[in-house]
Amino acid sequence: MQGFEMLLYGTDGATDNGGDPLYDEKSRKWKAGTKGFKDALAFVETVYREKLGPEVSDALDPNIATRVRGELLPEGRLGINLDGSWLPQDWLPGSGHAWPDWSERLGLAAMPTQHGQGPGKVSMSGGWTWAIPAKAANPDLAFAFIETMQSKANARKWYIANSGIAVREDVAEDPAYAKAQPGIAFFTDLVAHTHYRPAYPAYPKVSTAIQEAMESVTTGDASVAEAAENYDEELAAATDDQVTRG
Amino acid sequence: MTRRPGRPPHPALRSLIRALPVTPATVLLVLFLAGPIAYCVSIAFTDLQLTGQAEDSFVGLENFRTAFGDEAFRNAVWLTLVFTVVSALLGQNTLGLALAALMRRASKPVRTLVGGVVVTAWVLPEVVAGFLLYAFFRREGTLNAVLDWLGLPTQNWLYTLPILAVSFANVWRGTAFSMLVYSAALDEIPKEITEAAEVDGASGPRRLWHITLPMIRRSIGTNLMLITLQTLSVFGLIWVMTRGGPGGRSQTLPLFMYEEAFQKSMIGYGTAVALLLLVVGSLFSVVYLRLLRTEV
Repeated sequence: MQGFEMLLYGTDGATDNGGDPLYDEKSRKWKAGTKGFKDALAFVETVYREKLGPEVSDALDPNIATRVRGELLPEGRLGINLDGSWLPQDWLPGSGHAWPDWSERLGLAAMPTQHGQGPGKVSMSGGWTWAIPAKAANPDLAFAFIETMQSKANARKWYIANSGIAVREDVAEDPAYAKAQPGIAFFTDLVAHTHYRPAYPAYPKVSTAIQEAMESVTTGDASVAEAAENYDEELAAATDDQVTRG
Repeated sequence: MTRRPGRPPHPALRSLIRALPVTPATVLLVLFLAGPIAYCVSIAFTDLQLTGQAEDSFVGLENFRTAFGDEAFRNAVWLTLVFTVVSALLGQNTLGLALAALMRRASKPVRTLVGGVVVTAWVLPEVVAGFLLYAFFRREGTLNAVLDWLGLPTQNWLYTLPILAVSFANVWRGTAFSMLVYSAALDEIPKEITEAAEVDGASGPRRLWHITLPMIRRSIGTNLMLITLQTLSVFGLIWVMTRGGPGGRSQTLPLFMYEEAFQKSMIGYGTAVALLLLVVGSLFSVVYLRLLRTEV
């Protein structure tokens, strides 16, 4: 079950300078009972209740993502797939389901906001970072190593090789990078409007609670109101009651 | 040179010398078996998390209180019981006994063929078996193809009856073990006893009930104990087939434990659930041990 946060970060509460829809930086509390959360759940519920998406049983199949990438999209059996920049990696030669002309048969579009309100598109990013442990024996050498790895030439080589999205602006503007893969320029442009999940220790639990809420409206086990209420309870338990009600 | 009979060493010294050869094994056992278990028990009483928290603290029975108050935990306990009773006690056990009994009368080629097929299912790696049964039960799977050919209604079994689908998978995968145990046990029954019963006019079912079952009672007990403990810890099979879903409808305790400990990063709570799983296993064992004790 994916895609909920793409909906949530495009709702009113998130786009009108309300900040992160999950976490309030000012009060350092997690947000419960927001309208945006319920709106996003309602969207998911509508998709499955009105049969606009896949069959519920297919959507909950643990191998659905593999089928989408390997069968449904290449065979032209799926109209819209809400996915990310990593997807074309699965169609490279040697991947088992190579699809060399994917960029001619698939169009790319940014995820719109709830009512098309500014900035008009939503994107979520995650990732990794190079870090030096506080107790490292030789932090200066480690820093020099990271500097070398992240130089323009090396970073460009790295992002082209693993079809990642560059974080250096000079790499992003480099034609060799921009043309390395179809779609790279499109995804790199989205970084300007991208959101990051709240990186706090409680987040994995919050993420699971979101999954559960989304799954329960998908199966019809719970209404939107019930699922949102369950999420609020789970959120309070997951964050030691560090919760604010919007 | 003749060996003079020496004085026997002091008893304490003697037992020390005798203990010497087993010392390395004991140290290894304590270090690698008892150690992790003790560590496991100790963190079950803390709020240890895998999220880089500054420090964890002792929380007493809090984790256990949380578990019993958690609807998802109670659901997992119930599903674990269903899974164990249906797939191990009823499925693997009865089917294994039936196969073992039938194979005694079968001709050699049939015996080799059936034995080979059943044992193959058993030796397959868990993930491979899980994927095969996923392919069998899914909407475009083999089962539905057969049902469709017979003109019967089809459905996505992993969605409509997930716990039965994974139970069947466990039967398919685990029956060989029971079959082998019972084959060995049935070979042990002296022919004369069966023949005597036959001469006395005992029918097939009567012979089974009054001769065979009582005579292999110990094997039944051992087999039940082993397959129950194996089934209680099944993880990979269910994970591959359903991930415990949809909506937690096939989430047995091992999967619940994994979700809490590694997906939500609450390793302390997950470990407490592991200890509760251990309790469930011991309860089953106690029942079997009692069954074993009564003499006929």
